[in-house]
Amino acid sequence: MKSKLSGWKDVFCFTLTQTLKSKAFLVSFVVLVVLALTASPVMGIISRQEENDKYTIKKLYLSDETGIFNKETARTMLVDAGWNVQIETVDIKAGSEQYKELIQKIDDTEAEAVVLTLGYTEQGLLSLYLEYSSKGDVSKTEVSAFQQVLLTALGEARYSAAGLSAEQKSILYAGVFTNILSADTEGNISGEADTSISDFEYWFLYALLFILMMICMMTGSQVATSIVTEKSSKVVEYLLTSIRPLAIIVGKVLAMLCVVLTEVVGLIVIFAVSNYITGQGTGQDMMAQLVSPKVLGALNPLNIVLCLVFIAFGLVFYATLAGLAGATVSKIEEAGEGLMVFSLTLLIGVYVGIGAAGSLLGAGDNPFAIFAMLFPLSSPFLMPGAILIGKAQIWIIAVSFILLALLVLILFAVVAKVYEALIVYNGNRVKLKQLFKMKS
Amino acid sequence: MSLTVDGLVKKYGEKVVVDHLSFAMKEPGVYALLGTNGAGKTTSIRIILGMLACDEGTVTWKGGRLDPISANIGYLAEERGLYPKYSLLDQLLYFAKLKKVDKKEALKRIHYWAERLEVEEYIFPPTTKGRKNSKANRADQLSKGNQQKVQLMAALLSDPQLLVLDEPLSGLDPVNTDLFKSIIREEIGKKKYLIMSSHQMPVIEEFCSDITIMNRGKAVLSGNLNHIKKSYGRVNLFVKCEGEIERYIDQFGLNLVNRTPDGYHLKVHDDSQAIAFLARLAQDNIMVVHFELREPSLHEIFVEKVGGTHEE
Repeated sequence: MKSKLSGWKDVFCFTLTQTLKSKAFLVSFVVLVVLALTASPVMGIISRQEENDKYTIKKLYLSDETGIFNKETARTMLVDAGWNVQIETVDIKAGSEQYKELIQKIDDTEAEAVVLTLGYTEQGLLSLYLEYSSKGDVSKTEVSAFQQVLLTALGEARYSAAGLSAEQKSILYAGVFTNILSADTEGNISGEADTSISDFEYWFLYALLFILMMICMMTGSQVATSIVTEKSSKVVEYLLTSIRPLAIIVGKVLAMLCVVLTEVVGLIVIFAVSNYITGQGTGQDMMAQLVSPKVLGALNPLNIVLCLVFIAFGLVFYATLAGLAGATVSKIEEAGEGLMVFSLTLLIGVYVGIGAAGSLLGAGDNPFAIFAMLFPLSSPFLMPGAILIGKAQIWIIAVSFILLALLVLILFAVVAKVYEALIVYNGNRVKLKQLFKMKS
Repeated sequence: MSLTVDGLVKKYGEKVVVDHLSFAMKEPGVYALLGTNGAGKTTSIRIILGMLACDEGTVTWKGGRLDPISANIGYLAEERGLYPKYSLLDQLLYFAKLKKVDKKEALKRIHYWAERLEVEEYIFPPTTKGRKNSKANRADQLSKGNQQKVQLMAALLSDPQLLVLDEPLSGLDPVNTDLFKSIIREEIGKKKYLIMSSHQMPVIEEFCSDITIMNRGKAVLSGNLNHIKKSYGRVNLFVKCEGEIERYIDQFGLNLVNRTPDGYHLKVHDDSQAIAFLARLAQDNIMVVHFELREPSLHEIFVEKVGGTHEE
């Protein structure tokens, strides 16, 4: 094995240098660096703009016929929600001449004001009317959000009007925890806690899974293209007088792995630095807005290393598979055809991962999710996210890693057997059946 | 020190593409592997270079089994190969590194060969206002002949003791053909072992001392070229006279191979028949302008051995 791998470092260095020097890499890396550098400040600006756009209501005319509404409580709630409004109480009835004059006044001179009328309907229900000027910047969306805060304030006012104490109110406001229990014939009760993930965690898993899929796909195609180029340009015939085929694929795969990991880690660092600087300047932490506190809390060195190990092994597996697929064809035009098995395997892994994320959202911990975390085709995509949202227990991490490492070793054993024959092979694409024949 | 190829067999399924090929190079020089297209020359070369595994047989070099990776072998493939988009200098340095030549020595050798093969401007492109033309030193910007020169450089960079040249002169113009020939002569002068495959018989005759002619994977003729030619005898007679000599040709029972404006190409049984023929022409006062009695050319031997039997 040692002699078969002799020279892989030279291939690694050459592939790494040429990839880093290539225009395609430089252009894409510069674009990604610019994105990472500007993402935080741009999001900050957009967010601030949205904040500014969101909170355009500056004044509230309050007409309270119920007598229960607490102006100060409402103001506090509105300020907490972002509206720094001035509340002015008016004693006018909806539909009256004075009311119409007030609306006219808002339309003409106070476009940032709204009128709130609280009263009772003929059926005895509480009514809450809001009216705003269509001429100003106040949008229907903002008024809807504004109304939600006022409804909460009205609810609070009702409890106060009913004479409830703060303690009684807290009981009413408390959320409800549900748990379904089942009892068997002997009266033993069993039940499961709600282990489902939140919407945010689901989207985090989903996004990470797709990013990793894209990375694997790009790395795989680059390795395959590189091998097909060497075959079609016949460079490989020269290389084989100095180095064994296995060393070529190992050098290439590791070089691409190095490029991708450096790129990913570099971009994360650049984004973090940019986020920190933006945070210092604006007082906003965009990272905290994008990533949940739970995930941020899980970003410790051990978890980061575990995630990187899964990503690295996944990349090695998929890039080697792509390299093998690339070696089955002789012309660059046939590369796509050769990559079919690679793409199919990748898609199986991704879809199992997506299914598992969905099942975690709907049903919490379940056998399918555990299978997906252990299944070596999907674990490289699913495990990093699962580790960061705390869904991967230690035994799952250990077994999943062992299975993935075993699969990589098996693949390398197959590659070592068939790659020598494949790399000098010229002709039609080698079919899977022929590949198995070569292996045996 | 010698190279011995002993009983190589390579099969693809039921088809035998190399059938018990054996030859040996006891001394430095050039050994020719000849054959029609598909005769098994390139497959044999690939087996010798360790790119392909053989079903039977061995290749020994310096008394031990040949390990192409550890042995210093230079190879110029029939289908030339360079990375189309990478810098030529980077590629050559990479190839040298794979052959364990350190960078400083590699650069020195690249300079030497670039100058010798007149490709300096492509490998070390001149700068314009301190900037390199990014495309000037890429393989896809070179002519086929210049790519071949760079490929030959790659084969020679490690100063190999064993050099395998598969169709080294195909596609070259006469000037570059002479340049390549002079380099091959230099390598022969350095007491190197060369294996050459070519369809250009005059080139083989110019350089090679020993040959193997292959047909359908089998060696149909093998040995020292001079001995092979001698074994055929001087049976080719080329005659040019002032006046018709066909009557004499019939009288002597000579076989007319070809008649051209330059004269007659005849087959004789032996030297004495040719001398008797010449004496008769002189006796009858026929002016003989050209009289040449020689062994068959390699081209003729090749055609005789594989003509009409090879696969198209």
